[in-house]
Amino acid sequence: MSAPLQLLATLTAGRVGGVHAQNLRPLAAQVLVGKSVEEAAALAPAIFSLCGVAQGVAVRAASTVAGGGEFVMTAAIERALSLEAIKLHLWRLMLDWPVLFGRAPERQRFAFVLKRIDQVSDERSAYEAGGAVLDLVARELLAGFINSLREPRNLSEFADACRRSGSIGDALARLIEAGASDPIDHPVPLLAPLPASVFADALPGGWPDAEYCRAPHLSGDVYETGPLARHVNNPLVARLVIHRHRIAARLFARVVELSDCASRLRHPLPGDMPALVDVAPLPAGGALARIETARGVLLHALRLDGATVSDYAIVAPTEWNFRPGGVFEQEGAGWAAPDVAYADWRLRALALALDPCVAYEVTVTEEAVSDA
Amino acid sequence: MCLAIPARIVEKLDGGAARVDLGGVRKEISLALVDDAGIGDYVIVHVGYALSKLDPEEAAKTLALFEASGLDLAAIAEGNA
Repeated sequence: MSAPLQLLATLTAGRVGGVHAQNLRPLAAQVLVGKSVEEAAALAPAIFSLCGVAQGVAVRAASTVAGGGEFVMTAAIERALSLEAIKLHLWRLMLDWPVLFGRAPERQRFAFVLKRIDQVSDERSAYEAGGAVLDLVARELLAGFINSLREPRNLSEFADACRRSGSIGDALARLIEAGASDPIDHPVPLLAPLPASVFADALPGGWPDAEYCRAPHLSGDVYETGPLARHVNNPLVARLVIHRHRIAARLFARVVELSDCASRLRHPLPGDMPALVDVAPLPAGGALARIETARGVLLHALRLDGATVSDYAIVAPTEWNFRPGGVFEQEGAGWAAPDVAYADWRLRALALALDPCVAYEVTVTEEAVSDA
Repeated sequence: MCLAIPARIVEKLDGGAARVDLGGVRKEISLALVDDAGIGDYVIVHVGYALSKLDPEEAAKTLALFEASGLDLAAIAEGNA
C-alpha cells in the first residue's frame, strides 16, 4: 500500500460494508510556522502542487486580516483562482473519468487545453479562454440537451441526451445506466457556500486543532463539500439527486461548475454568484480565510507574532469528504454488489466523484459468511 | 492539498514517459503535460503526471524546506507519484 488515502471495504453475502477511509497524508501547514508573512505567501504555492494559487491567496487573505488590515478581493485574484479550478476540473474529466470506463485518458487533448489556459495573461486572453471552456462544456455535456426541444421525461432519456454529447456526456450516461448509487435514506448533508465567519464561530476552542483538521465538522455535524454542494439547485443536477444517482449528480455538478468558472474568467466578481474568498477574525486572535476551490471549501487559520507566523492550520476539502464517518464512508456502505469487481468499480467511482486531492487506492475484501 | 516535492528526471522512457527520483524513491511518470523535459530536469509530479518544470535553484530551495520541516519526505514521495 503506497497511496496516502486508503479506501477499504468488505463484501459479505453480496453486500458492501466496513467502509473505511484511512487518510495517511501529513498535515503540512506547520511548514509555514516561523516564516514571515511574505515568506509564507511565497512558499504556499511552491509546496502545494495542485491548488497553489488558492493556498497562496489564503495565506495573504488570512495574514492581512490577522495583521489588522482588510482583505480586498480583486478581479485578478478571481481570474487566477478560476483558471486553477478549471485545470483541476478538466484533469478529472479528461484524464481520470475515462479510465473508470476502460478508456484511455485524453492526455493530448488535456495538454492542448492546458497550454491554451497557461497562455492567459490579461483580461482579454482570460475572456477568450473562458469562451473556449464554455464551448467545451456545451459540446461535451450539453449538446444532447440543447438539441432537444423538450426536457428528458425519464432517466433513460436523460442518459440518451448525455450520450448525444461528447466523452463526458458518455461517462455520465454510463454512470446512470449502472444504476442508482445512493444507498442511504438520510444522505450526508451538503455544505452550501458559507461565509468564513460561520466556520470561525463554530470552531471548537476557536482554533482548528489537528483533530479538527483531520475530521472537520460544523457544530458537530458532518458535511459533504464540493461541486454537488454548490450546484445541487441546478435543475438537472437536482433531478439526478432525486433519482438517487448521487455519483452521476456529482459529475454533472462538476461540469456545471466548470461553466461557472469560465463565466468568472470572463466576468470576474459577479454579483449573482457567491464570493470565492472571504476572511473572518478568530476569537482568540488571528484570522480564518475561506476559499471555494475545485474540490470544496478550503480553510486557512493563522496567528501572527508581529510579522511572523506563530501558528497555522489548514482544513482541506479532502478531509471533509474522507473523514471518519464522512460522506465516503457513509455512502460507500450498505448496498448490494454481485462481486468484488463491481464493488471495487463503484467505490472508485464514488471516490472520483468526491475528488480527493491525493492518490488513493480502493481495496475490497470478500468475507465469508459465518455459519454460526 | 498534495505536496509539491520536486522530482528529478533520471531516465527517459518510451511513450512520453520518464523515470524520476522523488526524495530517493524511483517512479515512472508521464511527461504528456510538460514540454521539453529532459534528463536532469526537475518537475512537480502528481499521481503519475509531471505537472510543471522547475528550475534547479527553486527545486533545491523547496527540497531543503521539506527536509527541514521534519516531514517524512520518502513516505510522502512514495504516495505522491
